[in-house]
Amino acid sequence: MQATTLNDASGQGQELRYLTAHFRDLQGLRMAPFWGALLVLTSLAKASSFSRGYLAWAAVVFTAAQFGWLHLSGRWYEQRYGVVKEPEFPVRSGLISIMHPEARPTHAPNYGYRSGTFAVLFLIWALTLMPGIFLGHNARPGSLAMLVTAYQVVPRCFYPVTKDWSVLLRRVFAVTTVITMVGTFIAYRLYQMGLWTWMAVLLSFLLLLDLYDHWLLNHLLDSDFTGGSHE
Amino acid sequence: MITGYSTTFSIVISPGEVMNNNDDDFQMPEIDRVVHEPARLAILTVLSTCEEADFLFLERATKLSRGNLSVQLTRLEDADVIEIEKRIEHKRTLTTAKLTDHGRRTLNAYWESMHALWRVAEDSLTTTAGSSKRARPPRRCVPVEGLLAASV
Repeated sequence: MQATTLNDASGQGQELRYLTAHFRDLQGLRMAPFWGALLVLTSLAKASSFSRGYLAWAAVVFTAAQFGWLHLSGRWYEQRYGVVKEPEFPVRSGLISIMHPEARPTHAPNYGYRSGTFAVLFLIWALTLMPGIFLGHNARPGSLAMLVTAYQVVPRCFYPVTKDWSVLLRRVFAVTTVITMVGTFIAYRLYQMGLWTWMAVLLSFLLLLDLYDHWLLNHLLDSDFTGGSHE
Repeated sequence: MITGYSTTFSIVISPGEVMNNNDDDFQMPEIDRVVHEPARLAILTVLSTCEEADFLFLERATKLSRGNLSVQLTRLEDADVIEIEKRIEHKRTLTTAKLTDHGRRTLNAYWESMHALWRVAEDSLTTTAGSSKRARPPRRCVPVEGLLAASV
């Protein structure tokens, strides 16, 4: 019985460690509005007679605005949830999320959502994917979108998780998303699945994953790790 | 969702059964009271996972009141387990806490003690299960307060 209780205690400590180590990863509202905006544009492209040129410009504007939003949302998270500076030493949980600072290059202190790497990926997205999709050019949007999906989703499938159901569910969602992405990509390339349908599926999953991350952050912060301790 | 739970329980250890483990000189691990308190242990668990964290995050993560958190941080600072720094950032005061080298060693030593205690408890349970029909010597209770906030 004591061993069971100790295991429970260990689990609660692991969740606290997970929350701290993934504090930046779980800030889902940094990206969710962007996925939402692109999803709306994709839906408009599929369901209405909007000019593709306008939609392409709108996508580029949303992409540019996302740079500003990354900064603003970062400040908002700091003011609402606090600040956690990532460790200089490897943490024992063995995280391998590429969003996690443990994976950052040695001389890139801001590796993560505000990193140059991420900004470059966004530029690639803006300059190649968006015009290609909305103007109807042959820009191989599927390949690039898969790359971005892998960058966003795959890391969530590998890092160690705790026994908490909500944390496990995050991994389940991520794995489901990867499988779905691969399946729909194959359907898009081989079975002439509609581009807008495929994009809508991809963006919906990215949006849901990021919204879940934000919910999970709040959920873990609402957990009582000290049991109302007073001394 | 983690719900409420007791923060105090006892590990019941039979000295005679511990002796069965060929350890006549066995001594119960000494528990660091500064680290052992649940609120302080939660704070240290957070700080051991990051370089530093600010007051707001510690308040939200540990669910302690501002007053209680402030008291616990002061006690940890007095014990040289953490460092507290105040600075102005974005036109507001940012109070951050970080684990000192001494604090990290203290925390590691604390977990080694707890693991030792855990092993003793497990050995005791195993031995008890194997000799349930034999007469038992008097038991000794070792209170382990707040262990439920622990992390490994």
